[in-house]
Amino acid sequence: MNRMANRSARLFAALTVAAGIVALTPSAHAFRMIQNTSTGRVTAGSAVDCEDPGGFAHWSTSSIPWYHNTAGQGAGKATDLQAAMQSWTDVTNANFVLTYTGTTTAGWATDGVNTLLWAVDNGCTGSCLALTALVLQSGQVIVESDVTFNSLYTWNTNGTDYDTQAIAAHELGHSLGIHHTDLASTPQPTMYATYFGTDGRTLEVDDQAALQCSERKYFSSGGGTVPAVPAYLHVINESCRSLNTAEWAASSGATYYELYRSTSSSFSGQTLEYSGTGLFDVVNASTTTYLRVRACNAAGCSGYRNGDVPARYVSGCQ
Amino acid sequence: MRAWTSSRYGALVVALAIGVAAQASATTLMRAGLDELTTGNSTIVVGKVLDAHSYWNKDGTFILTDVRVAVHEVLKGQVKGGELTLTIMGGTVGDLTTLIVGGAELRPESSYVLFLGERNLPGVREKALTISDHCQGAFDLVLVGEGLRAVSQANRHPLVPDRQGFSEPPGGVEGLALDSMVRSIRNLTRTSREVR
Repeated sequence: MNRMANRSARLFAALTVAAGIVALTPSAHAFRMIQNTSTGRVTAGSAVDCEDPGGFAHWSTSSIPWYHNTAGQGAGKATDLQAAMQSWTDVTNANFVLTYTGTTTAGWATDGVNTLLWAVDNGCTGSCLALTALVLQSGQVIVESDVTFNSLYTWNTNGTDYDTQAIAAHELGHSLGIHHTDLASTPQPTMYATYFGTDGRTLEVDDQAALQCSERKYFSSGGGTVPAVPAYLHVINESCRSLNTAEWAASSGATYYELYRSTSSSFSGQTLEYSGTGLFDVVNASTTTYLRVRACNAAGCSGYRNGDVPARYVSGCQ
Repeated sequence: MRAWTSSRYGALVVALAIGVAAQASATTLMRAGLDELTTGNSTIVVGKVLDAHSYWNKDGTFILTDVRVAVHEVLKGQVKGGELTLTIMGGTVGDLTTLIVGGAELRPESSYVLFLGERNLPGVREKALTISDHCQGAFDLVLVGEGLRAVSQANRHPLVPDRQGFSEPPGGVEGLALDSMVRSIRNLTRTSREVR
């Protein structure tokens, strides 16, 4: 018992851990969208609802061409892939058209080609059946997506596991910016967070609502205007410990702000310090740290406003 | 004295915890138990992320991110100098972000239990140390009461049930007590070595 307590105490002292809130609280909402407002670090995307002020990943065009790499187990899958695409194209009150454009030799690469392929060495091995990558530009605009299926598993078109069409429909949903739904009732939506066989081939109302949300937010109502650069970013070096306070001006039309930090004044290798609706942040700086902020909304993000002075470490308490 | 008795720093910690709660991911992964994660990876560590650096691979075809980790405890494998660098797919270079749906999410200054293996990554000539199980291979360290718990990032993830029919990641949303998890991993590693 004491050894256990000691381990916790040692780790507590040595590591930075998240405290307090542990539960992954399910939302009352059903479908969810993929949000990525971060940069400079690896992120898998958060699940947010349609009206989240931070917006979500979305296409700026409703016409999305897909190519099919028939290498490996990709052969003989065209009909299933086309059917999966058609299920999303058929959603009413949404004008997205997913087109099976033909075959390609393109692979798991950022090459401007949306590709569905089968392979074993694309970072999808072992427990991974299929992996979806999204390439985003500023403002969470999706400019490319690739889906890689793990060739070490057996992919079928006759309804037995693993069903190509069902999983393709699910992955294509992600490629449209849709996250997993919280809805677990039967019939389960295609974007339900577990594979459940061929039932996943058919989109449910919840899946359709997710795509309609993207349509409504980014097409029907127009993209809107990118907010202006915040007028100032004041950085206050606190007189104790390594704390600094960053305060920035509100920008008309902004729905959230992003504060970045870097040890380089050119902001190479910057990391996201804060993303949210607030107008200040407390920054912990163990060395000279440069800050800059930008204002964002669904249409995109403004240019950056640099901090008036860098954040820094102040020795001792005055 | 706890570092976060300061109300402002406390707010930061709460913000961090909220960030963890909001994290969730996608893609299609087969559920891997602690035994599979342990035997399927060559290196397992408890550590804190120091920094992350994203870049284009040599072919200019994929954004990768090197993540530097200060290793507090090695549970399997060998780590020289108390620090390691792992590489994962995705990241941001300039205004372009590659997002791996279902990937592990590692934040500087945060601590994790990481399951690492050497795998091929796009445009990388030699195998790289990576989190090959994606979100299943990263556990957030969370302070609950006086104890640390390791919470899998695969919670709320579409895990295909394993052979026993389990689809929940090890520990579920409450996570595993870190001490218990460490003991289990060490036992599994020892057993694996003896069997071999």
